[in-house]
Parts: sequence; structure tokens; C-alpha cells
Amino acid sequence: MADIIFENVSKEYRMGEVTIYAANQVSFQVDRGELCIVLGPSGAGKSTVLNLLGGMDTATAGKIFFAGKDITAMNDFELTDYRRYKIGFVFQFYNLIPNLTAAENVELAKQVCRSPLEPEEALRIVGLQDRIHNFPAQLSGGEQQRVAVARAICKNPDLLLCDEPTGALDTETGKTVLGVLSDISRKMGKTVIIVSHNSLLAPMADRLIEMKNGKAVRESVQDSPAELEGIKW
Amino acid sequence: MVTMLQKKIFRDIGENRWWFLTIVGICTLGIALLSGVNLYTSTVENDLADYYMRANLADFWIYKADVSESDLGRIQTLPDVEMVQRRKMLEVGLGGEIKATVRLHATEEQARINIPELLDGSLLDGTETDALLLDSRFAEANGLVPGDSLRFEAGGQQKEWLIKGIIRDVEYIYYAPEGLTIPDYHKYGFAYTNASALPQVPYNEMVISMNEDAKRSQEEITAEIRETLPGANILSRLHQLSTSNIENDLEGIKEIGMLFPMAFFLTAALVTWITVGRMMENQRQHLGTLRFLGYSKAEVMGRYGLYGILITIPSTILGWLISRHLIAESLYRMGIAYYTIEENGVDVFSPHFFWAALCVALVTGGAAFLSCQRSLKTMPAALMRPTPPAQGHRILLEKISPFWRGLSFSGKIVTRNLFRNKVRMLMGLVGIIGSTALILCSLGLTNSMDAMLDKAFDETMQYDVEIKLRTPVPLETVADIYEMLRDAQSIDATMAFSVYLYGSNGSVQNPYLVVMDDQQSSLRFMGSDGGEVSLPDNGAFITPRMAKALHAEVGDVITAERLDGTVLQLNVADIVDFPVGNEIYISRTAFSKISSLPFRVRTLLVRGHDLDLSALKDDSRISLVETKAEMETNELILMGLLRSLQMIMISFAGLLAIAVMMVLGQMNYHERIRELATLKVLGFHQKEMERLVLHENFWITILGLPFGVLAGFGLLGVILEEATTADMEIGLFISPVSVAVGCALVLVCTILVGYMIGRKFKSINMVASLKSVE
Repeated sequence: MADIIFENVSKEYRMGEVTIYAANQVSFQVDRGELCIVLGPSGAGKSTVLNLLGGMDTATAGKIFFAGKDITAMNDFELTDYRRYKIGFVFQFYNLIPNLTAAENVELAKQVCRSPLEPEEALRIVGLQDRIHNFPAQLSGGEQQRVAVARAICKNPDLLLCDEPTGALDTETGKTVLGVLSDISRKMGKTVIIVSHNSLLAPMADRLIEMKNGKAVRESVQDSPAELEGIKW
Repeated sequence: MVTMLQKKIFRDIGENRWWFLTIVGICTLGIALLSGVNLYTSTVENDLADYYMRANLADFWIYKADVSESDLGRIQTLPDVEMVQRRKMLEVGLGGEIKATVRLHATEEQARINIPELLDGSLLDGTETDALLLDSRFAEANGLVPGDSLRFEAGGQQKEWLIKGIIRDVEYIYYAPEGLTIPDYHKYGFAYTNASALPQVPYNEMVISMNEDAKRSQEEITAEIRETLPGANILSRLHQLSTSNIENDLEGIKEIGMLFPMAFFLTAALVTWITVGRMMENQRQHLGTLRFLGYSKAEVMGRYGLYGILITIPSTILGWLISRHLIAESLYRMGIAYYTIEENGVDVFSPHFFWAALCVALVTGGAAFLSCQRSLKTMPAALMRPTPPAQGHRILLEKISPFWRGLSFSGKIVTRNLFRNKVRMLMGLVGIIGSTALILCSLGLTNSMDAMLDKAFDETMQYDVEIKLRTPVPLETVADIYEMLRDAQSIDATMAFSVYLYGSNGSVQNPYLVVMDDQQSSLRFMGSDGGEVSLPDNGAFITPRMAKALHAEVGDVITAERLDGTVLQLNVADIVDFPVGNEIYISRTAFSKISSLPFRVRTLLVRGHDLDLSALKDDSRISLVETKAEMETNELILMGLLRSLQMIMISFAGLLAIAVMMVLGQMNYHERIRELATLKVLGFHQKEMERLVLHENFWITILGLPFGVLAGFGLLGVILEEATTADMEIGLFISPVSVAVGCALVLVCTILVGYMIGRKFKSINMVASLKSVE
């Protein structure tokens, strides 16, 4: 059975007389351990879908199931617990706490979950074992994003959600980060969902969901995803 | 028409309304306190000045056994004398149901100086010989109205006196004779009659009013009058009972009303300056956009100056309303009750209000303007880029390994954050130190006064009852009174008269010279070496305040001059600790060595409990019988106004603490909303976030409290130094309980605000907060 199920999910905003649909009747499924990429241009509703799945926002209509549980029925406290124990987030602009070192930023996440990885281990996984005592300002953009990934995986989440994780990075640095995310899915068996406007990333996905104007217009499964080395942008 | 830029500023304010309102609140409190207390004192001063002018209050009172027509003429011809009038003055004891002492003045024509004001009935027509005008307070206390009569003996004649009118008089605004601390209208009053009603009584008093533009000092004029009328007793307004009492009362309130609100205002201004500056810094990127769009620096600064105006206008209006209708009104209602004066209500403004409003405008406008100007020095492209977040770095405390290792993870985050954001910490510290100091200063004011009273009544005054004779008499004539007090442990007879003291520094003091029995045990004097000392056979004791005023030291000889001009040379035997009163104390033996004046008893100080004083109270020779408990109660009543002021001070200091913590909390919230949203995304529950973030405020409070306590002691010290009169030695004392209560109050404010801000965490929109580009 699918790990993630979106059933006719909508998110609408009312601006006086006008109703804007950030997500409109979106339906798709993702299996456990898959690397799923949600593709689409700016304003397509990708981030909205990710936020709804991550319990950072609430749907106006439809149902979202994760591991059999309906997260649209959860209250605020349950949603906090859901984010706390099940979800890891990676943002485009890292959102690290500037006055905590790399290790401490990761430890911040460790503090609130049940069976976390050690911060040093999480940083080793993303290749930053030598920079653990550096503050964010002392790290490059790619390194900061890897710290953000380490912070996400340290929680040992069931689902890793990444919103434009390479959006602020150059090709080489972006590839490094994508490599880390790919390993997390393939080697650690975690479900990873990456939101991106960059269609060149599509070949590396197990599952591809394309969005346009708030709707999921196409969903495809790739049995033999491409290796990262072959991808260029 | 509202421009788009103004619209933007209004919307910014709408979005940050709590922050904005808190700043308006802080400025309102500052204006209200500074102008409120001063509005009260200036209203009373204006009322008094008007009354003094309207009723032509005398500048000098001259007492002489027989004031002749020629004396009157000689005084009238002195330079700068505008008007002089002679009066008959005597104190009469009422018998019967009303046992009281009435001071009776008699004039040969309508009073032109110290003009009585008729409140009920009618004035005397100048011919009545058995009618009088009676003090309104005395009449009210004893239920007397025009048409009633009083029976007493005056000038050797016992007769019925018709009360023709009820009056108040400018020289009896605050009438507390015989050393009373507060007026006793049941026992003491005054009255006016025609001179012809007292044919046997000579004229014995002159009142003089001087030209308004007289340039000479009081001392010069006094010397001239003394030369003209040798042997006369001369009092100026400085020494007249009512005017000097009022002056002393107002002086204390005025100093406290200036120093405390100034400290409050300074704290509020600093917090406002930092906060408004910070608000402007947060507008940095917007300024860049405006510059990018082509707005000139002047246009941008002009528009952002709106912040200052928008804070100043509501603060000024609210500040005025609170100062006028709450602070000044409540102080006025309580304070004016002590005075016999027409109640005209509180004035509309005092000059302090305009100064306070101007300061608020300068602080808010200045902070907005300067901060804006600083930002605009940067190129628009640089302004458009966000300020890089404060860099994380190791703090000094991390080098103290045992301390740092001992901290929890959240403790480390909180500690780093505290030192990372120095401006926020500085503002918090200023606010906490200021609020704590102000609260402790208010509490300490009461503590210090209570301690002073305790010291005076428990340590210095060893007697239990004070008995004042109507006139000084030889000791042997009161033998029967001694007999009535045979159960007393001890009775000390004292003589006292007013003297002028001339210091080597040119200062003139006007204390009483108190001559006491050599072996007296009624007063305990503590010498300059800290030990108890007895009155010596040579020389006199003075208080440290007197020594300071005269620049006198032990062993110095000071010149004392009686009001009749007799000169005495006093050797300072010791400077003694004496909390209430600023008199000179000398033994009978020592006095007999410097003066040939006979010892005449005026006061008996009695030690003993359960004494039967009823017979003494009925004795016509005695004007006052007062127990120590009554004196203490009267002192406490007198301090009622100060206690009201203290309550206002504590409330305002508490409100300031809340407002400062609110601003700090809001600042923390708005500037860290992205960080908070990240924590929320990571799965932190509200309470965990509150703990992490609001611990900062808590620690700022803990850090600020010790400095606040020190500042509180300092502020109180300055106030006591400036606000106390020479009659009191108020030692600086803030009790441990007050310190604990003050600190607890500030902590409670912090926790309360923490709770309020914590509730906002619930509404953080994670998506919106994290969407904006860092």
C-alpha cells in the first residue's frame, strides 16, 4: 500500500470575491522509500503540496494520508507531534540558526525526537564531519544546505521533504546535496520528496509528479532512474 | 491627501500595533508622571501665591510689649516698606464645653495686611466691643455658626462674644501651633475683633508688607527694623508658622516630584530611543526600495519622521489626561485638605507638561530621524540587500569550561543569544534596571521614613508625654503640676526660644535654643563617636544638619541672636545624632554661664505610663498635653500625601517594567519569527519554544536586578539628600522585604509578559514566515 496518499486535496485562499486555488483537487500516491520529485513552474502549487504534506499548512478540502493516518484530521498538537517524529524538512534558504554551530543546529533537532541519529553521525553522512564546530556564517551555501539536510535526517524521520533544496546553489554544490538526498532514499530507505522547478532533475526520480496551475497534471514512475553523474543543468 | 508612502507607514504601524502601542504607553507614562506631580505642586504654589497677593500677606511680623504710634511711624518711613499696621494679639483659653486656645487679633481699623476673607455672616463695622470674626476650621470643628457666642476672658474682662462672621485668613493657612505636626482644629483657632473691644490690652504686634520690587535681603531689612525698634522680636515669612510649614511640605513633594519622575522619564526615553531606532533599522530594505524608486533622502526621512509624530501626539494627549485627571487631581484632593484655602481645582497645564511632550517628540522623532539618516548613507543597492544576520561566534563564557559544560543545550542557546544581540539586551537591561530602581526607591522612601520615625520615637525620645505651658513661667510656679504627676518616673523642665544662628559661611539658621535640666533623661543624645552623651556643663549640642548648614565643627563658637536682639556665644560641645528636629540643646548650667536670662519653664517632658492626664488637660495654664502615641499618629497622618505619591510611583514603575518587557518580547518575537517558525517546523511544541526564547527575557531580568537594586539605593539616596528638610535626618534604608518584593514584582512582570508573548507563538504562520528571503 502507498505510504503517502493525496485524495482530491485543495487549498484555496479567498481574496474578497475572488477565490484563488493554490492546490486544486490534487491526487497522487508515493510508496515508501521512493525518491519523488514534484516538478512545475513557479506558482504551480508545488510548495503548497509540500507544506500540506508536512503539516505546516491545512487543506481546505480533500484527504492526505501518511502511513495510513489522515493528517488532515489532526489538530494543532497532533500536527506538531507529526512534524516532530515523522518529518524532516529542507528549505531553499537553509533556515539555520545563525548563532549555533553546525553540530548545535543539528542537535537542536535531535532534542525533540525519539530515536535520533547522533549529530556527528548525521553530519558525517552529509560529508561535513570536519566542519561540525563552524557557525553557519563560516560555511558556504552548499555546506549550509548540507547542515540543513543533516538536521533533517538527524531526526531519523520517515519522510524527508525538500523545498527547492538546490535553488540557491550552483550546479556542482547542488549535485552534492542531491547526492546526499539520493543516498538517504536509496541507502537508508527513507521516503524523500523534492520540490523543484528544474525539469533537469526529473531523470533521477523514482516517481515524478508534474504540477501546473495548482493541479497534478501528470504522475509517472521510472523503473530505472538515472544516476546523478549524468545529470547537468 | 495621504501619499502611498504615508499609507505604507500607517500599515506598518497597524501590523506592529502592539509594539507601537507599548511605546506610546511608555511615553504616556513618562509624560503623565513628570507633569502630573509637578502640576499638583505648581497648582498649590499658584493658589498660594494668588492668595498671598490677594490677601496681602505680611512680609514681617514684629512683636514688642507696647507698639506706640511713633513706632508705627518710624517703621512706616523705612525704605521699601509699603504698608504697616499694628494689632493687639493675645491667646485666650476657652472654658466650658469647648476647651481650646484661640489666638485673638484686634485691629483699630479694617485689616489691610493679612486681610481676612469672610465666608459666612458679616464683617465687623469697627464699633462692636463684644463681637468677633471666627476661624472657619475652628468653627466647623466645634459646630459654631454666626450668631453663636463664646465666653472667655480677655484683657482681664470675662464676657460673651458674639460670632458675627466666619473667616479664613492668609496667615493661618496651615495652623499647627505649639509644635503640633498637624493642625488640631478642635483645640486651636484664631479670631479677629476690634481694638476697642480690648481696651486693657496694649498694641503688641506689627505686620509689615514690603514693596514688591524691594531689592534688599531679609537679613538686611531685619537688621534695619531691629535698629529702629531695639528689643523687638522680628519674624519673616521664612519663620512664620503657616508659611514655613507650607514651604517645608511643598519642598519635599516638589523635590520627589521632580527627581523620581526625571529618573522614570530617563528610563522611558532610553527604552523608547533604542526601540524606535530598532523599528527603523527593521525598515532598512524598505528604505532601499524607496531610494531605488527615486525618492530623495529628504522625502524618505520626512515621511519616516511621521513615526515620531504618531507616537508623540497620542502620548501627549493621554499623558495630559492621566497627569491632570488622575495624578494631580488625587494629590490635590489629599494635599489641599491640609490647607485652609479656597479650592480652585487643579490648573490645566504646568510648564513641565510642555517640556515632557517636547522631550518625547525629540526622543521619538530624533531616534527615527537619526536611524533613517544612518541607513540612507548606504547605497540603495546595499540597502536592498538584507542585513546579514548577526554572526555566530563564541562568547567569553564559553571559555569558562566548567560553567559552559554545566549549561543545558537550551541554556547555551539562550546565553549565546543574549550576547549576540547586544542592543536588545541593553534595552532590556536599561528597562529592568530602571524599573527595579524606581520600584525600590518608592518602597524605600517609606522604609526610610518609618525607620526615621522609629528611631525618633523609640530611641531618641525617651519621654511619654509632652506638656506645653501657655506662657513661660518660673519653675516654682508649676510645683502643683509636678505634684499631679507624682506617679511619673521623671519630669524634665525645658525652656526654649527662637534664635538666629550666624555661620562662618554667611548662612543664617533659625532654630530653637532648648535649655534642659542638667540630668535630663527625656532625650537620648548619640554623640559623634557613636556613644551616648549627656548635656555638658559647657557648650551646646547641635545636629549634623545644623553643623553642615553653618560649616561648624566641635569646638567652634557660634553666634546666636534672640529675636529681641540679645546675643549669645555658643560653644559647639558635640554634634549629636538627632533624627527629628534641628534645634540646639544646652544644659541649664551651661546656659547660665553664657546668659543672665532666668530659666522659665515652657515645656515639661514626662516619663511614665498610665498617668492620669485629665486634670492637666483642664488646667488653664496648659495649652497642650500630647502623648508620644498621639505624636506618632500625627506624623503618620502628615505622611499620608507622601504615601499616596509613593503608591503612584510604585504603580508607574510596575507599569514601566511591564511595558519594557512587552517591547522586548515583541522585538524578540518579530526579529526572530523566522527562527521561531523553523523551530515550529522541527516539531517544537509551543511550551518548548516559549522556554527557549522567553528564558532570554528571564535572564535579562535576573542580570538586571542586582544593578537595579544598586540603582534604587542610589536614586533614593539622591532623593533623600535633596528632598528632606533640615528638620529631619532620614537615613537611607530599604528593607530586605522591600528588596524582595520589588525584585519579585519585576520578575512577575517578566513572567506575565512572557506568557502573553508566548501565546503569540501559536499564531506563527510557518509557511509565510519561511517564505520570505533571508
